[in-house]
Amino acid sequence: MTSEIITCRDAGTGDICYRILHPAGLEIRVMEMPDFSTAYAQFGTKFGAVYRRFRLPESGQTVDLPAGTAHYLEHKLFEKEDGDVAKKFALLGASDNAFTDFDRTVYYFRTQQNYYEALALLLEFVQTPYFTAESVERERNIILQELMEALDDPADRNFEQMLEGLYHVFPLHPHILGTAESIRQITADTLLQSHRAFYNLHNMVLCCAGNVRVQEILEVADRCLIPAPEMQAEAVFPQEPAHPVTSRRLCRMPVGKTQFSIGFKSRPAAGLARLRDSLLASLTADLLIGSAAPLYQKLLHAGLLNDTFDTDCFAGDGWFIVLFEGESDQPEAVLQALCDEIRRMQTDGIDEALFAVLKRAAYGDSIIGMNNPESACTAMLDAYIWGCDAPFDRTALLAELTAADVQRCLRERFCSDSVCLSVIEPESPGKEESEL
Amino acid sequence: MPETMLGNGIRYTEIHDPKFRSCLLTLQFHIPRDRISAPVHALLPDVLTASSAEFPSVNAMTLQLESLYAADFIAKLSLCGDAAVIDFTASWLDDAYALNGEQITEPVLRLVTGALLHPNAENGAFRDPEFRICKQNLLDDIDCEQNDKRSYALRQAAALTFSGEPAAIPAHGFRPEAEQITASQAYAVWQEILRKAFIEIAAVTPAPKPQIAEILKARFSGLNRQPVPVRFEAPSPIRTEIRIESEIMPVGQTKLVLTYKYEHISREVMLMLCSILGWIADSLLFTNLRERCGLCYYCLLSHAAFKHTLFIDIGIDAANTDAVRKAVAEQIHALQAGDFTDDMMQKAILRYAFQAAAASDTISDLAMQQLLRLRRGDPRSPQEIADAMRKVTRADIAEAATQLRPDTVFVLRAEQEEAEPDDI
Repeated sequence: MTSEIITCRDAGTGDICYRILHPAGLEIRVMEMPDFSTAYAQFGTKFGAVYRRFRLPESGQTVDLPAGTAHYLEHKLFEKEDGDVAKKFALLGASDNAFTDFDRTVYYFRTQQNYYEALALLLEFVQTPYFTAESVERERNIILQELMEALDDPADRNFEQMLEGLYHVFPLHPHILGTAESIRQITADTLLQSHRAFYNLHNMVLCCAGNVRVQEILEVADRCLIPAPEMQAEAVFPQEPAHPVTSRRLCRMPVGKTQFSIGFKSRPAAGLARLRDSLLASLTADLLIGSAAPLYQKLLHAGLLNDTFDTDCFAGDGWFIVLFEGESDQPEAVLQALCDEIRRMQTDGIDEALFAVLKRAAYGDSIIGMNNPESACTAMLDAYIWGCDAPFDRTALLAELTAADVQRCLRERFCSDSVCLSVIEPESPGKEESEL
Repeated sequence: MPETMLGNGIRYTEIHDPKFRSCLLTLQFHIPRDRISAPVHALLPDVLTASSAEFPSVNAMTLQLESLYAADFIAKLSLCGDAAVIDFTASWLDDAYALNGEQITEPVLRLVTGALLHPNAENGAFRDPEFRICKQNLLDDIDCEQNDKRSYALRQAAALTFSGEPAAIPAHGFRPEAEQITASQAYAVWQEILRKAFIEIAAVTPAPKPQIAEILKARFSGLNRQPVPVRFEAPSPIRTEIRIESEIMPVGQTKLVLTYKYEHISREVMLMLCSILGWIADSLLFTNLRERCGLCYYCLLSHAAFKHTLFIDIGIDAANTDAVRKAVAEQIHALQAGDFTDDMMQKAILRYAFQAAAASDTISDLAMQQLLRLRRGDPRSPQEIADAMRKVTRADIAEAATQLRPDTVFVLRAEQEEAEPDDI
């Protein structure tokens, strides 16, 4: 088979990422890093927890999936007629695993030896599902146990509660694992149907990095990939209102100190624009209240924050949230101070010197971030899921960002009427909920 | 990787690997522990990295690190046997990647040595408000120990397993002692550590950087060093009766922790034993408790090597507690009977070989691998250890497993143990 190979080069480091459009329908991305002794492979599909409904164009039929289907499928794909595929990876000296996120499911392995044998195993097992009613049933209690553990985790719970406060209908909630009720609805048929719909090579990517060679990867791909028909299933997402559901959410759990999560909801972006806006939003959040910003110091001195405080940008196909999380006895005061600082920065302008320092820091992070087979592999997969050609766009985008961009970001992505404050308070007997 | 001495009780190793684009420097201080000093030791990493005399606030320190292309300077306290290690690690972009040809390495070295030798202090005490903020962070950490239920259960089990030994003291210490810490007391403890702790230093760089050793040697030469060696190996006494304790918490999932002690098992045999019991993909615990019986999502095995103790921790339905305990005991019996496959033994060796190789691909793991080798006093290379593992027989593992003595059972019990998952 003949594959088209596109070479993408990072101007700063000289790193090369090869993009291969394989005739079987799969996009393959490779970074050869011969100085490293290990190698990674990630085989991912654009099917994650938010994929809850799809349409089959020929029949027009719409299929609804129970929450947690993508994660359940990830668990069950490892099981084959002759046992768990993990044992085969282990015999090759490879370590395999998988994860399900909101927008993707990724199967991966890492190894020092027998890379191409392990790659063949990865491609084969992800493409060929084997589900029986008995094995799907046996997994149910394991996943319910995983859910119980997640629900006991205050950070997980706070994040989910914040998403519930921000999104009306977009399926960022319930939890990636689903609910006890939805997990009980999932059957072998559900999993098979989902696999047929979304584990189509045209909807997937294979990323390889480390001590690997493109030609040998292509030989394995030629041998193991089952040519896929054109993608039939069309993911359907509900129309999400711009405003949040509520500005406040509260629950109580056994925690030692009040935890908070502040989320600013804004319009989603796609492709390179999303990457650019995510970088910009992260920089803007750090300008406002990152640990080099005066407001952080002020709140630290006032005892309103501690060293658990962090900022983040969480974005995907259909959502965009800027996050501020930490511990505080007065989360309302933190939110108020943050909103005041947003207004002040809009009026007074930004600290240009700090902006330059933060841009330089982000450049340093991006250079170091690609200096490892695992992180290079993840960066290539992220770029594919986000609709970007190569994992090297970050550095160029960072260099272009200006103070005017920050002002635009403040206006569009930090609106005080698009915020939800989620709080987890320590449980104390006799205290009623919904006081916030 | 030849080690050199930079001063009395200050050992230095420099590793070069051109594939890296960054540099890393780790300084580890070996210290003994007791109930009073424990929270001070827990506080020092935060106090000494948050600010310094030259960068006297969190803002100033962060700004300097960010301006050095997001250089990182972090510290942590790790418990090792009955002792502890305070680990300060700086990492930074190699000078070759600076956009305007500016120096990064030397300003980072100045920042690190300044923070350790010239902290944010005056008149023999750390300065407020930075000290007060760090102390409050510590108190918050102690209060929040219950947030992560799995870690909390493991800590409670360790306290019971090592009762009466320094290893029973939690990493953060206890709240009453933490509340009493003063800025002058903490400063005095740090000065004593600078004088008395054995200091193990490792640097990993893409190319030789002799200035690292030179600067460290010059800066540390001003100290009046009288190092007192710390012994990490501290086997916990084996009990004749199993200790069983439980605690109720309003959570959905019950956590079960089981500990086992042994007298002496060689490192290569222990690596084989632990791999087969809990570390490989089809370990006895994973295959039987999770895959065959569906009793849990996670079932993890950890090895406190210096204490000669194994920890098995599992998230379960409270109603299955006895069944899970029985299933774990059956896996220990299987080990003792040599009831495991040749494939499992092979996978144990492959797993170790992969981990050793993977460590050489990450700058921080490469440094840590070298520091752990020195701390263990085991001069063997990963290849030599893998070779020793290949010589371990089924009988060696079975015999070693007969040494395992159940010590403690700790159950963090979900409050509503009869609750159906629907109710969560």
